[in-house]
Amino acid sequence: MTTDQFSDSLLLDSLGVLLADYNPGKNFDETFLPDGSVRALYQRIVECFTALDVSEINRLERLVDEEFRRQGITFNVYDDEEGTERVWLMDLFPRLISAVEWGKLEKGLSQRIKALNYFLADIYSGDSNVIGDGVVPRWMITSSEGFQRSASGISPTHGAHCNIAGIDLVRDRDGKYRILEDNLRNPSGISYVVENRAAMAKAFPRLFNHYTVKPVEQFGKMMRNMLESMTPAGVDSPHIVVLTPGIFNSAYAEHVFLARLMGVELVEGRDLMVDDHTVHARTIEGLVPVDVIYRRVDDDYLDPVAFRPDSVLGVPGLLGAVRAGTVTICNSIGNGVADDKAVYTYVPDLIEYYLGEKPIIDNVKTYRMYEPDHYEEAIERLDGLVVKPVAESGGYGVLIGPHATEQQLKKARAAIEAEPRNWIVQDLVELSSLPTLTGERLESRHIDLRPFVLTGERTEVFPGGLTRVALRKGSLIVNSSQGGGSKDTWVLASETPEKVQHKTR
Amino acid sequence: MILARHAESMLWVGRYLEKVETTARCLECESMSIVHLETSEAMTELEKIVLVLGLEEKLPEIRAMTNSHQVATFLLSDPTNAGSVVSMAEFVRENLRTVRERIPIELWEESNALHLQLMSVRCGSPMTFQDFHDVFLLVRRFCFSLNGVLSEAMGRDEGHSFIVIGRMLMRSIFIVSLLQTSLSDARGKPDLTRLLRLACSLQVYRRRHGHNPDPEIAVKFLLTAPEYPGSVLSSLLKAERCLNNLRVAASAFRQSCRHIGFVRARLEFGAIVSELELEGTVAVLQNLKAELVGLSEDVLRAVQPSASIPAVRSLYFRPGQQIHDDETTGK
Repeated sequence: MTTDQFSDSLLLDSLGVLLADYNPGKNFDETFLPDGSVRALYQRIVECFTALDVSEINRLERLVDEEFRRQGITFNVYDDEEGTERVWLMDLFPRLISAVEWGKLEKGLSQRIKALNYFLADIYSGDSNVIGDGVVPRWMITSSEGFQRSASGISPTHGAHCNIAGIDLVRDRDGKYRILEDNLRNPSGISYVVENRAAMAKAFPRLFNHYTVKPVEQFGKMMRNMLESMTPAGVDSPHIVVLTPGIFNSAYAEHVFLARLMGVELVEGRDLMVDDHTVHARTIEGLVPVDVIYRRVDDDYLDPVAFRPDSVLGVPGLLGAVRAGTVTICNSIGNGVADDKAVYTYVPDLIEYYLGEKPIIDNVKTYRMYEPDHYEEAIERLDGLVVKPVAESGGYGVLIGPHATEQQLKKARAAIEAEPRNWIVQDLVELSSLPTLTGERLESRHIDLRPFVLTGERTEVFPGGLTRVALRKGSLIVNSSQGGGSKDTWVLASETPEKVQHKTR
Repeated sequence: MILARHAESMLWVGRYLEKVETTARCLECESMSIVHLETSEAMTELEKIVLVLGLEEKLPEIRAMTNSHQVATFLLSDPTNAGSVVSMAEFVRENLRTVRERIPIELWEESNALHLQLMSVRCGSPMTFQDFHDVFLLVRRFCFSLNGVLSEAMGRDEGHSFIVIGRMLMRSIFIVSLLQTSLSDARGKPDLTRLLRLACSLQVYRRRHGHNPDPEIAVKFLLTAPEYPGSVLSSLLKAERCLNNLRVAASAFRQSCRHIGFVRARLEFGAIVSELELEGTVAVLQNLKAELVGLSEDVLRAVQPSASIPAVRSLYFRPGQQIHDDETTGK
């Protein structure tokens, strides 16, 4: 029995003014079937929304907005005329993931992160078997901007290089989840998962009556346990800190949130110093040794002695301390090589190579532009594909073929021709959509999903994730820095869709 | 254990909080009393407030203004004036922002809420008389609720101690400045009712000493009354308690503890009151203010015990090489 077999009770046409203009489009709609009937999973949510009048919904929206504004839950946008600090946006219509669906995602994500950790351990340990066995070409690794030669020989506790990963997932036209990209350096967004849930529970508690949703408040404990498990040998009670670039960083509110949630200090580079290959915090009592650093500073700025000498955000000598094994840095240095968008195309091979398994979640079809046959296949039909620079993040530099002008396409072709290693081209995935409030209506908007995977002694997938939504009609760019919003993401507990259906009747 | 940078931020939170409250209160009192005065007299009164608030360097700017409304706006909401209420409320928020993970959520939320409301004041049209009073009310409520959160929701850790120390030292400096400025008024007898109102102590004073303030009693009251929480003695006692708690953990505060203990004892056991009679009030107040300012600087210096340590030493010392303790701790 599938969820869709229960969908006969509610039809789009009968759902009143809020959904009057709703058009699910040709993509996969999370809430409605192509015939306009509501999927069973969302039946009670839709009923709740349609039972409210517009003024009540607007009141709830204001409530959430005021809550975020009052608490200062913000993100920063650099070089923005409206000012750097923007209030976080959350849409009231939640995203639901059934327990069965989540079970599959959990396995697929764990599998992927395990393989990527093996890969990082392999290339930085000096063995580089993955190169010797011809799985990934050497030049692909050494030409990656994220590859740090100076991290060679660093072997973190449990071989866990990537302690917190954010994997971007999308659903294609058939509703199949696909990996869009991996974020293994400093993935942001986890705090918003928790904040969204808190805001939702305050604004719309009755919506939770019909579902058993997995809680998200335990994230701080999970994260702290993971960091404690990364303690260097010989330390009983680790001193853990979160390292932030400071109040002007785009994710500063998140850094504060994480430090508070875990009950640890939030430090800046100037609060730390290295003495005798040991990292110390400058306190009023003098210097206190630090054992584990969850850093939110990019590799290049982490240590001016080893990386960019002009960095004032980092800690001079930090790399030496990491090498000496007196401190663990999470995530490890040099992870960027594994989330390079060109290396991404090799991840299915890495899973097979390290784990001997087929990937549970497939990649989006991607063309390596340095391979002649891929190049031939893609270059003349860029107008139907997506072009991405391999080293950018946050949606910057992405060209969506069907939305691009001839001039932009020409420019993209020239750029690819000049530096094929620096670009990938992907099939255009019409991201799935979900009803989203736009003033007085619920309209279809595209979404993605960023679940978070923690790895210390073991690998765990945090139940939930950040659902990002493109607030502009038809847009496929969901990044908050480019006009995206978010949704509370509900992973349903052990209840099967049948039970959910039973509750609704 | 508290980071030196956090300790410094907390200290400044306390100082700015006190200044926000004091400046707003002074302006509110003055805006009511100057409505009956001629422009020149009103300007003179406001200039005195400027001196009490320690904004001497702003006097040339203020003297170039043509009416008291301009001066009040400058002191209340001018973002170019670092001593305006709005600017200082912003500094409170900025400092709290750097220690957000250490403070109660409510403390941050209150500060953020004030910031959002004051933003609209800054962005709005020129202020009316009503606007002034709305802002005073806003700031007063903010201070009350912040005091409540500090007292009831914040753990009595080092962070709390630094906020209290910053506030109490700033409060004691303000009271001494207020006395000094009021008593050195060249035009004759000081307006003691106004003085006590500015110190937020009129009601307590009347309960104890009746309705006819005597300059000598008023000075002693503001300096040493144990039942008045704004007196210099009460403020120093609270700051001293917090400093003593810190000294247990951080010996860098030993000097500050000795210093504050010395000043407090001279107030508590009558030495300063005796000096008032012998040396004259204004001279004694001047010395006392200098001592309090010095004490404040002592604490600020002690907050950064490891600031003088170079950023890295492992490049210059071999691993395992012994470094003297005094070098490591920077004491």
